[in-house]
Parts: sequence; C-alpha cells; structure tokens
Amino acid sequence: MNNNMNDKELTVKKIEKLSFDKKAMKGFKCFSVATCAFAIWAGAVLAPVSLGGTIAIWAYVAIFKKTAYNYSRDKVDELKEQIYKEKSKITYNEYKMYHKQPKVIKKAKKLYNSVRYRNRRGFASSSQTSNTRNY
Amino acid sequence: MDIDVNDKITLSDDISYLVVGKTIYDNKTYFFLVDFNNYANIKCCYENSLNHSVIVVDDKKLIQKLLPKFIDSQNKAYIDSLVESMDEN
Repeated sequence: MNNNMNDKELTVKKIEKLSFDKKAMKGFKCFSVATCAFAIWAGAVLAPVSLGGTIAIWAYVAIFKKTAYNYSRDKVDELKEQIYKEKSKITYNEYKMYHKQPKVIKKAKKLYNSVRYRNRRGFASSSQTSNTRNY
Repeated sequence: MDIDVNDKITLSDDISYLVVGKTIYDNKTYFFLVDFNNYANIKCCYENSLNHSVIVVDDKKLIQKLLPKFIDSQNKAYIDSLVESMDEN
C-alpha cells in the first residue's frame, strides 16, 4: 500500500535541530552560575586589593612629589647662590634642565630676569661669559 | 538518519520543512512535514535510511490512517516533556 510506484523519493540534504536542547541549557545554566560566583568572588577579593593598591600608589606619588619638590627647591637655592656668585653664568635653559615644575620654572625665570635686569643696569661684573648677553 | 520532531530538514527539492509529527507504522518511520515558507505545502513521508532519503507518500488512505497517529505521538511527546520537567523540578 505504502510502496506505491508514484511515491516520490527526496534526498535529505540537511537536518537542523530546532528542538530545545535541554542538556545544552543545563550546561549554560551551570556556566552562568559559575560565572556569577566567580564575579562575586573576584569582586570580594580584588576590590580591597585594588583599593589598597590605589592608596599605596597615591601615597607613593604624594611622597615622591614632595621629595622631588624639595629637591627642586634645593637646586633653586643652589643656583641662586651660584648666580649671585658667578654673576649669571647660567642661562635660562640650564634652569629648565633642573626644574620641570611650572612653579619652579616661574621662580627661576623671575630670578633669571632679575639678574639680567641687574646686568642691564650695569651691575654685571667683568667675569661675564658668552652665555649671557653683554648689554 | 536521526530526524526528530521539531527538526528542520532540507530536501533535494531545496525546500526546508519542519518535522511536525513522527510515528512508526508498519515497521516504517513516517514523518509529517510542513514547508517553512508555505504552510499549505505539507508532506507525509517515510524514512529510507539506506539512501539517506525520505519517500513522499501520496496515498490518501494511508495518510488518513497516519494523521491520528501523528496527533497521538505529538500528545505523547508533550506529556513526556511535562513529566520530564516535573521530574527536574
């Protein structure tokens, strides 16, 4: 009856599973739970570490900055002394080499200008070098 | 061949069908297929595992016999899935 000669034979090219794969869903659920658990654990463990690290870096930077500033201050004093002793042998670029911080540069520039002004007014000594302009 | 209900199969006529029903009758596995793009295009066929093909049935009497079986199989599958989900919970 069902082996009729009119029956048409069609080859199956492709089979796609559209049915809901419960095993896959179970695996996905397990994976989700594991991921959430790991995220919570990582948050609990890493947050204090991260906070501690941030505080440590902040403290280090603060201390280092203070040290660097003090070092710059010392250098300014040293240069100041040198300038008044040597009557401005040092150029402004040499100030910049020692002082990268804007405040210090400003101070150094002011100092340099005052020395230059003094030189212009005729206070320069005969020990001037080629680094400074002879007015 | 491992064709089950809710599978999408593409046959040599380049049409994709959804397997709506599956039943065993007279030692043959019959499928009830519905065209994805044209729901009016339905096919009743049985599996030919040797050639990896399906043979379309045109015999109206046979189809009339098979239709209630497809419905029963669907109901059974639905009840089985319900029982399974209850077991899981």
